[in-house]
This record gives sequence, structure tokens and C-alpha cells, in this order.
Amino acid sequence: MVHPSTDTQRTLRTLGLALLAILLLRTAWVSDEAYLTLRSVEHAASGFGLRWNVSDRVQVYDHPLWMLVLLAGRLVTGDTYYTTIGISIAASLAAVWIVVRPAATDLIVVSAVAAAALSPLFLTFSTSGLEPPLLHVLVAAFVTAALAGRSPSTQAFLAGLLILTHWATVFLVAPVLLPLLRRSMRQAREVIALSGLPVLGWLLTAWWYYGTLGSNLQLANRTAGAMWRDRAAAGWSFVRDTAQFDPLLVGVCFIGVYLGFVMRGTAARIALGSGLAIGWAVLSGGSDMAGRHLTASFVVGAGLGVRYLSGAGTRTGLGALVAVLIFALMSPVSTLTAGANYGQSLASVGEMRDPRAVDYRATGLLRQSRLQRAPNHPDIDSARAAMVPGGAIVAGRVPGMVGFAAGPAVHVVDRRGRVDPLLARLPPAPGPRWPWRADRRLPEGYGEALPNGTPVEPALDQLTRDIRDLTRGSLVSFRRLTHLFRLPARVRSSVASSSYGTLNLPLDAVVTAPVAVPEGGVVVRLPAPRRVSRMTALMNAGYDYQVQFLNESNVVATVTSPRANWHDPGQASRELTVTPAATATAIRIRCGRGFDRCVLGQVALDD
Amino acid sequence: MTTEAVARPGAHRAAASLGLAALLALLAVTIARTAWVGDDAYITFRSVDNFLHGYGMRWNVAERVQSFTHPLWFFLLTPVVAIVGNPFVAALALSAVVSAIAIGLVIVPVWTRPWQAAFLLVAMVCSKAFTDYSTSGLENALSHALLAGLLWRVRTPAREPRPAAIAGLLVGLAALTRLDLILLAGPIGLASLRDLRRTVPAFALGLAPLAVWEIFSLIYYGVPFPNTAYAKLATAIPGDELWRQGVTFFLDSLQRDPVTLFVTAWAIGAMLIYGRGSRVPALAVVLYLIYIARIGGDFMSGRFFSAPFVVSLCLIARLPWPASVSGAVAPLAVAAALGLSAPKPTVFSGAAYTTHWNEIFLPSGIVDERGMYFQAQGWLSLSGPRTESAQKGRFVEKIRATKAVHPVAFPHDTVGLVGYLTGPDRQILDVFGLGDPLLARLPARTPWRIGHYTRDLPAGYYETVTSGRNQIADPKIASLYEVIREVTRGPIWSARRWRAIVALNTGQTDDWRVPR
Repeated sequence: MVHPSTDTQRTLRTLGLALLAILLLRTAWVSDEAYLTLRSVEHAASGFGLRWNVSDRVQVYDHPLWMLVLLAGRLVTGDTYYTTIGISIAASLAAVWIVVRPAATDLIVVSAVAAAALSPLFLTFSTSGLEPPLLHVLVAAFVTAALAGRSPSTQAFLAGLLILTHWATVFLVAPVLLPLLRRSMRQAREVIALSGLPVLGWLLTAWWYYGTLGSNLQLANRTAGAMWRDRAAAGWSFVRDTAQFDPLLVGVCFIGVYLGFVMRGTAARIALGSGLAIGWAVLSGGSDMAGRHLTASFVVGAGLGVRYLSGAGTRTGLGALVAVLIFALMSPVSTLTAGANYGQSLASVGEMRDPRAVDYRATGLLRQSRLQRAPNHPDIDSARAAMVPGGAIVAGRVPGMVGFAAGPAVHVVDRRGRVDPLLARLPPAPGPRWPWRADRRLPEGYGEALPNGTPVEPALDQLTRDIRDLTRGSLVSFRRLTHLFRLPARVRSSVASSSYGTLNLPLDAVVTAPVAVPEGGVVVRLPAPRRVSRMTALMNAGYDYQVQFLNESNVVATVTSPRANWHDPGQASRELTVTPAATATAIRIRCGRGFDRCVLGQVALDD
Repeated sequence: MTTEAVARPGAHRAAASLGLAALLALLAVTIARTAWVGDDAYITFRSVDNFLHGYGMRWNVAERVQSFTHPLWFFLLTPVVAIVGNPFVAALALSAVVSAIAIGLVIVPVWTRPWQAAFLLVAMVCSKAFTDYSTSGLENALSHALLAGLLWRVRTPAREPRPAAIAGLLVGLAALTRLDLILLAGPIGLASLRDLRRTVPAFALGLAPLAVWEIFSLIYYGVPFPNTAYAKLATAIPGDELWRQGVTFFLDSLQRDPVTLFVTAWAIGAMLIYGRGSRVPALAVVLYLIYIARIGGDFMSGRFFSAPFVVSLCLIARLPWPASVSGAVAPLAVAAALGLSAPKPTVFSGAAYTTHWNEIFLPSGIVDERGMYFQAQGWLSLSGPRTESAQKGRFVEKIRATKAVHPVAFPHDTVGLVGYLTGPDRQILDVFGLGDPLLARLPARTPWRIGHYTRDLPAGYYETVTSGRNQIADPKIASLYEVIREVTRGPIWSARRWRAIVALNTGQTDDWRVPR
């Protein structure tokens, strides 16, 4: 039920918007990841197409609708940075307005505005250049429409826009939409058409244009090689660290879920959706940005909280306000004091970093002036010498900013494979990595050969040529159309059977200290052909290992060593028996795909 | 409201009055503790000094040039300086009186609504722009009072000639205080008029002081606008650079002084969304803010935001205030929280105010002007090691040395205190063009800094000024100077001078005959 607005509540709502506007302006920034999208937008606006590097059709963004909104803004204003921040702030203010509008009392308005104004991570992702502001306003509208019992077509349309903004919101909207499908066939068709067709339309367009159903970011993420339990563990750390950094955000998310179930009906379905969205965020590994995928659930929680409190007494409302203030005081950073020097002393919680603190000095709005324009990162200065027309840069920490600053004439790739179609299809390089942060080893000769050459590693020659056909060939050529179906399926087998990603070591190198096992495995060369009946090695207790004994290139024996205990992150010595004993010149050891902890060491062989 | 309060309304009122009195005292103390006089005020002081000594309203006594932007402030300041003697003290005293009037005009309409009045007082206490420029020796305090007076007047529409004339008078006086305030005050005054056939003529009559000044300015100075307008607005700097600098001016204020723009944003938002009768004043504020961005803002952080801030306070005074305790206190808490979270909260500003140089002076060229001069020219710092007299002493030695080398004129930048202390016997060639009519009309050097548009002295200009013979090498500039010399130094009523005035104001100066 929407309560009628009183004049004094209007006063408070406008006060809240003004406060948030000031805080959003003071905290406004653009993340490096957003510059991946902004470079594509800039290229599209300049007539080069929606591409990261103008020579390749590669989708480096996960948020098609947000990208289209930014592109429209860029075409109107001619500016990218200020337009992005302006649209973000407008969308976030609209979201808060929609959430606060049904509030029945002054106290609820104050509590809701306080929650938004005092949550550091909500403010952080209310700009950032990423899609959360659009998600916020669409989620607020969707929740309001669902609770108000608006027509199924309205709800389905909003759901479609949400999914088009970020596919993972399908978890959020599904519990609300599914019951609508059961009412009648006609309504089911309407709901499916309005929510699904825009998404389907985009997917088909992207598939035809880019050659992949998902973005290159997702491809790079998939080939990073993290198992679901590794992702879940990282996701758990993500929530834990987010809670430590911004307890108010996490508190509102979970209290919102609880209140939705208490309220029952549509509110319970919304709460279920919010819970599923949080669950997805955890199981997918979260993000290296604290709070990244939780702000939509924060908006849901605030919306449900406003509805619940509107039916509760003054004391409950007062309790909510006090809770908001206490949660806010628990945060190590204050939204009110954040200024131009934010990030000077980098705030870090566990493995997670305050995302705004990392990039604020390079892109913070308060740091802009006539003479200093974003992005203004030291890495851009150091890459400046390579920024020559026709040249190529392998960007390090901030590929988005470096790419944006380099302009369309410079070919830019990053080590994490997010912007390069070949690297995205390669397994990660050996070494520590997280599910969402896995560097690739640049194939030999690849960096030097860019943008038009091919790597000198023969194993990647065919793959490179196929990818070139896909990303650079004529959109209607038959050869390319066949790749649309064949290439994604061939990627993994092609790479797995190649020598790329394989660590080739002499036996001496693995008899003592452990080495990290890459996706292609470790090939241990024996000094001379040798008959082996038993092998002991230090391995991770929580992973399966496969050991192949090779005589020249022939596999003469295969032994699988199952994990001892998948909860155990430690390392233990395992003994493998080769039956019957085989004569080998080398041993290939592969590990169950994991990150960080997959090792091999102390190898000993017995005849 | 509690039962006890209902039973004892008198006690409730007394407590509210006491609370408001305490906040009023806090505001007065804050303004007193932050009182200062900026270097730019001394540009006016030099003209006041020359005027009081019979040289006319001139900066360099040799030429009729209006180097002050604020005629009305000049006329108020002059008698006070004549009485007090010391322009520093006179400016502070006059600012205190005028600021008290401004605060009264903002607060009195809501005095019976304690929470609303408390918010306005807290906002004023916490606004760095308002407290800094309630003194400073510049015209802002007078702008505040006139705008608050105008907003008071237009609370009820003007249906009769008399209130319309008063509205026109206040608009005219605001424009006479600073000409660009007409963008802010004009729409507000005009929107209050009803029955236009009767009220518009009366409103126009109220603008008479402005018209009289403009006629005088054209006759005496030969131009309708102050020389500072030509120096700062005709710089030949590309418009997009000025826009970017203007945005930087806003961002600078957001960083140093979040309360001022918060209050302004709230007033604009509330009035545009729900204001009905107050939308025009809100739009006038928006128009003025766009103008500020368009001209690149100023080099003094927050200076141009104090006038729209006062208008915004007056608009917030019109809002219906929440009756519940939580609703009534929330705006107050927000203003206080933002004010206290500013990098340099106004309430903690004391005699030691002057922060580190890198906090005062940002790469954008925008400075905390009070921070720059407080140790030398702050009221609290008068007894400190760098007193105003000590500062003067330091400059006097330098000026004496300069005068020894330059018997007629010398070029200089930052001409405030230096200009005042130099006295009437030397002409100063202000390279920023504020006091120099020729340099004001030449393009600025790049790279430029906002408010400090340096001009290169044309070859032969110094020799021309010192010898009295036009020796400027560039024929176009020589011709322009000849026109300017005729306008600023020729006999006021001569036909040749009036031809020169027409040529100068229509840009037809290239063909003016240059005697060789």
C-alpha cells in the first residue's frame, strides 16, 4: 500500500536527495573495470564499432543495457567521464526516491535515507562507472511494481531490462516472475515475451557480431580454471570482508530477506530472489571489489524495510534508525568525511580491497580539474611511450584506464585475458590466482606480433587463426558462421591438448620444493628411461591428481590418485603404485583444477 | 510534542528561544573568529583612499578607471573609512553590521518555528563560504543583506506600485553591489509582480539608482562596466576551458565546504519539485550557478556561492517543516554532520587558521583565500607575529625600493595591499589588468590561472606611460591605447572624448589617429 505523501515528508525526501547528491558527488569515481566498457563506448561513438580494440570484435562488458545507456549519453554530450558520473548519480537518486516514496512516517524516510547515505559501498557502487546504478533504479522499480501488484507485463518488462543490465539478476526476478506464468497461457506468453525477448535479441546479436554468447570477461573467467568450491570459498571471503568493511550493507541485505519472509506473499518471493542473488554472488566467487554484487540486494532490503516499517509502530521505526546508525558506526570508513584525498592510505580488508580507494586518486571526481582529467593513473604515464598509432601495449594493473587513454589507434591487451580473445581462451599461468584474477602467460612472440601477427607457438597457430576469422572476418562469411558453432566447443580441447600451459621440468626440479601445477600439468623429464613401479610425491590433500607415464610420446601407464579429503587445504605425501610396472622417459602430472593450492613436490620413484 | 510541553507552552517557547539565542551567538562568534580582509579588498581601498584625498574615484590617479566591481559597497565603505581612518577596521565593522542585517532578514521570518530557524543558523555556521565572505572586505556581505531583503519582500506578490518599487529598488541595489547579481535578483523581483500594467513601471522606477550609476559610469569612466569585468571576461580564453574551470570551482567547493552546495541543492530540488510559487527563485539560482560555471568560477574558493546560498536559505525558510521530532531534527543533524566533516570545520577555526600551503593552494588555481591571508589580515591574528602592521611594514620597504627605481610607474601583480601602500604618486601597471584599462582589453597569456589573467606588457607601453608619448610598437594596440587615453584622461565633455567613448564601446579603435 502506498501512503499518501504529506508536505513535510516531501521536505524530508528532498533533503535526503540533496544529501545523497552531495555525498555521491564527493565519492564519485570510475573504476578501471568500467573503463573497459567506456573504451568500447568511445570507439562506438567514434564510428569504430562496439569493440575494445578496433581491429577485433570483442565484447568486454557484461552489462549491455548499461553500455547502451552510456553510449546514448556519450552521443548526446560528447563527453564520457562526466556523462557516466552524471547518469550514475541520476539513476541512484531515482532509486532512493522510489524506495523512500511509500514511507508512511518521517522516521522511516529518515531511516531509509540514512541507510543509503551511510553505507560506504552503496555510495561506492552508486557511481563507479559500472552497472549498479541502473540495477538500483530498476530493482527499486521492480520491487515497487511487484509489491503494488502492478500488471504482469510491467513486472516482466522491468525484469527483462534487469536481466539485460546484468544476466545474474535472473536469480532476483525469477521467484516473482515464475508464479505469473502459471495464471494463464496468454499471460505466460506475455511475461516470457517481455522479459525474455530483449535478452534473447541481445544474445543473438552478440553471438552473431562477437561470436560468443557471453562476454570475453565471462570467457576469461570460465577458463581461469577455478572449481566451484574454490569459487565458493572466495565468495565466502568476499561476504565476510564486505561485512567487515560495510556492515550496514550486509545487514540491510540480510534483514531485507528476513523481513520479506515475515511479510509473506509477494514480499517473500522478492526476499527469496534477493537471497538467491546473494547466494549466486557467493557461489560465483564474489569479486575482488568488496560489495560488488550485493548492492542490488541492499536496495531490495531497503525497499522491503520501508514497507515493513510502514506497518509497524514508532518504536520499531526508531529501532531501525538506531540500528542503521550503529551499523554505520561499525564501518572503518565514513561516507561523510570522504574527500579528494580518499584512498591515500589504502583501505584493505583481508584479500579484498576497498575498490574506490584503489582507483579514486586516478579517477575521483573531486580530483578533476581543468588541467587534470581522468583517468590520471601513473601506469598511463609509463605506457605513454608505447602509445603510438599502430602500436600495441600489454597493460598491467589498469588495462581499462591505459586502454582508454591510449585511444583507438593503439592495440591493448591485458594479462588477465579480459580484452583479448586468444588469451581469454588460454588457461591461467602458473602462480597464485583467484577465480576472478588469473593472469595468462603471454604465448611466445604474441606481444611482439600484435596487433596482426601470430604467436610463434605452433600449438596456438590454428586457434589464433580461427579466432581471427571469428573476430575479424566478414560477418556473413560461411567460414565465420561455422566458427560460431564450432569454436567455443573446441577451445578447451584445443588448449588442453596443446603444450600451452604445461610446465616442463627435469626431475631434479621437483624432488625438493613444491611447484605450482598449471592447467596443462607438469611434465617431469627423467634423466634416462627408467622402469617405475611406485611413485611418492607431495600433493594437495583436497585435489584429484592424474599421473601418466610416458615413453617418448606414448602413454604407457595411467594412475589416478583421488583426493583424500576435500575440506583439507593442506599438502600431504601420497604413494602411487604402477601396475604393472612401466618403462618411462617422462611423467605428466595433472591436478584437479584449482587455484593457489595445486602443487607438486618431493617426487621420488622406485623400480 | 510531549504532554508536559503541551501543558507548559510558555516553557517550551522559552527553551526554544534560549536555544536559538545560543545558536545565534555561535554564529556571531564564528563570524568574528573568522573575520579577515582579503588582498582584493585593498584594490577598493586604494580607490577609496584616492577619492577621500580628492583624486576622484580612481585607482591610478592619472586616469578615470573603475577598478572596483561593487559601486554600492564602495559608497558605503567610503564614509566609514573617512570616520574610522583605517580601511581594515572600517571594512570589518561595516561587514559586521551588514552581515547582522542579512542574518536577521533570513532568520526573523522563521523565528517562531524553532527547528527551522535552528537549521538555518546551523547551516550558516557550517557554511565556509558564508562565514568567510560575511567579512573579507569584499561586497558579499552586502549582497547577502540585499538578497535576503528581496526574498523577504517577495514573500507576498507585489500587486501595488509601492511594493513593486521596493522590489525594483532591491534588485537595482543588488546589481549596483555586483552587476552579475542581476541574474539572481532580477528574475526573483520580476516574478513577484502582479497586475503588470501598474507594477512594472514602479519596478522600473526602483531600478533608478542602477540607471543613474550606469549613466555616471558612462560619462565619467567612459564605459558601462567596471574595468575588472573587461579584465576577467574578455580574456580570449576558449569557452570550453572556462566551462571546465567552472566545474572545477564547483568540485573545489564540494571538497572544502560541503554544506554550502548541500543547502543550495536542497533548496533548488525542493522548490523545483514541490515549490509551486517558489520555482522562479530556484530557477534564478540555477541560472546564476550556470553563469558561474560559464565564467570559470573564481580563484577564491566558494566566493560566488555565498549569494545563492543566502537565497537558498530564504527558500528553505518557506518549506513546510516536519512536526515529528525525528523529521524536525534530521535536517539540523545533516547540516551539522556535513559541516563538521568538512576538512576545516568553520567552528574550529581559530587564530592558528592557515593550513599548509598545499591545502590552501590547489593545482586548479583555486585557493582558500582566507587561509592565504588570515595570518596577516585576520582579526584574530592581529596580535600575532605576522600582524597587519608587520605585513605592511614588510611591503613598505619593498615599495620604497621600487619607487626609487620607477619615478612614474611600475608594473606589478597582486596589486591589493601593494597598490594601497604605494599611494597616489605612482601609477601601477597591473599585469592582471584589473586596474589597467589597456591591459584589461588584451588577450590573456597562457597557461592561465582563474581570476589572474596575466597580460604581457606591449612593447613600448611602459615607456609610453612614463613619457606620456605613445611609443607602443604594435599599431593596433597603439591605436587602442590612444582611444583609451582619450577616454580616461581627456576632458570629460570634449567632443573628441565622446567620439573615443563611442569607438571604445563599439570596438572601432583600429583607425584612431596616433600622434607620433
